[in-house]
Amino acid sequence: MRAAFGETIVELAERDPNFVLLNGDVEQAMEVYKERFPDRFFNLGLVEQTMIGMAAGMAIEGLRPLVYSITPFLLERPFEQIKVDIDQMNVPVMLVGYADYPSHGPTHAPLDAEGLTKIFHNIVSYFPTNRAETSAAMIEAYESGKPSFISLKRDNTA
Amino acid sequence: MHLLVALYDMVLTDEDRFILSKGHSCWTQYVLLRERGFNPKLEGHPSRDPENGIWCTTGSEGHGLPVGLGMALARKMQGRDGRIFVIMGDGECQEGTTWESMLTAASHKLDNVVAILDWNRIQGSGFVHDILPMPDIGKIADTIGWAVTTIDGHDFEEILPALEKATPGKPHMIVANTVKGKGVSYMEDVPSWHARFPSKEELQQAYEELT
Repeated sequence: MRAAFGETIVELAERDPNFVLLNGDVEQAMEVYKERFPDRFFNLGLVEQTMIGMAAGMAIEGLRPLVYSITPFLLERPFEQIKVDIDQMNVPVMLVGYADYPSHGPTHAPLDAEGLTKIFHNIVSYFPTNRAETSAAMIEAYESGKPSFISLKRDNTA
Repeated sequence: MHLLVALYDMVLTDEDRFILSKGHSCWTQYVLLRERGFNPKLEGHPSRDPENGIWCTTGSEGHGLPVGLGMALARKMQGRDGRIFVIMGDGECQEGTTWESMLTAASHKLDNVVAILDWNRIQGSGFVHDILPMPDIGKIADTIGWAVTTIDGHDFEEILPALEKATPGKPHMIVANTVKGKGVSYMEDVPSWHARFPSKEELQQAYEELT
């Protein structure tokens, strides 16, 4: 699913000059994107809360940010930033989180991303199960213009 | 108060954006917006409402500066003019996002950001130095790569030049030394007025002292 993610961010960046990719020092499946769109690629470092706020600010100014990280660092650590800056302000930020680390310990496993994202008022969440669904979810989330969360896992079907 | 009046009356252009990150000070902002024909919802903390001049939801501390940084970076990418002004409280500077944002703004050379610190030395429950003492934040910001100006936050002759100052490649921090409740004798420098409504008599006294 991360491979599909890598392909789809390139597709979105080709389609829309306002598309921009942010990550918190988790550069996964973005080598091609980074090489092709260096001016729209930001590894902001380990500032997850600020990264969410910045993505909201970029969206306010008309950009279409996608924020990528490992799911607990994307959803749980900056949860209040997502609640206030993205969900309450209802700005079109895409959040994409990867979580499938069965042997990485409790820090790298989300408690319940599905339950956590269900309680938002405006954020639409997607839980694709394979590569095709991942691309489709990302395209749909982008085209909807709504704030969104897309969960990625290891794809054993591809 | 003086900082907000200076911004709204003399500094902000149509291209600029203002975020009141210390959202609990919103009542002064509401008055200034209503004077200009806007009609923001009168709640204890402001909600995003661009049509009425509220660009960012604030109230929970430490949100305005990161959002402002995103707006500033977007404008850099888009080649658009205008500066992003953010007023923050000194208690708010205890939040981790303040320090994250200080590093980030300097690293990305966001010289279209102006962070104004309302340094009144009081936070929600008392004096800052009794709760979590703050270091010389201006000195630290300068070390990180900000341009820093320290002013008397009640003196327009110091406020206005500071707000107009710009240093290429560096975000600007204005440390504005202020007195909470300035101009109302029984409020000045008294922590309990951080979040308290005056009685009818107190209100009358304040009105007489200010006019």
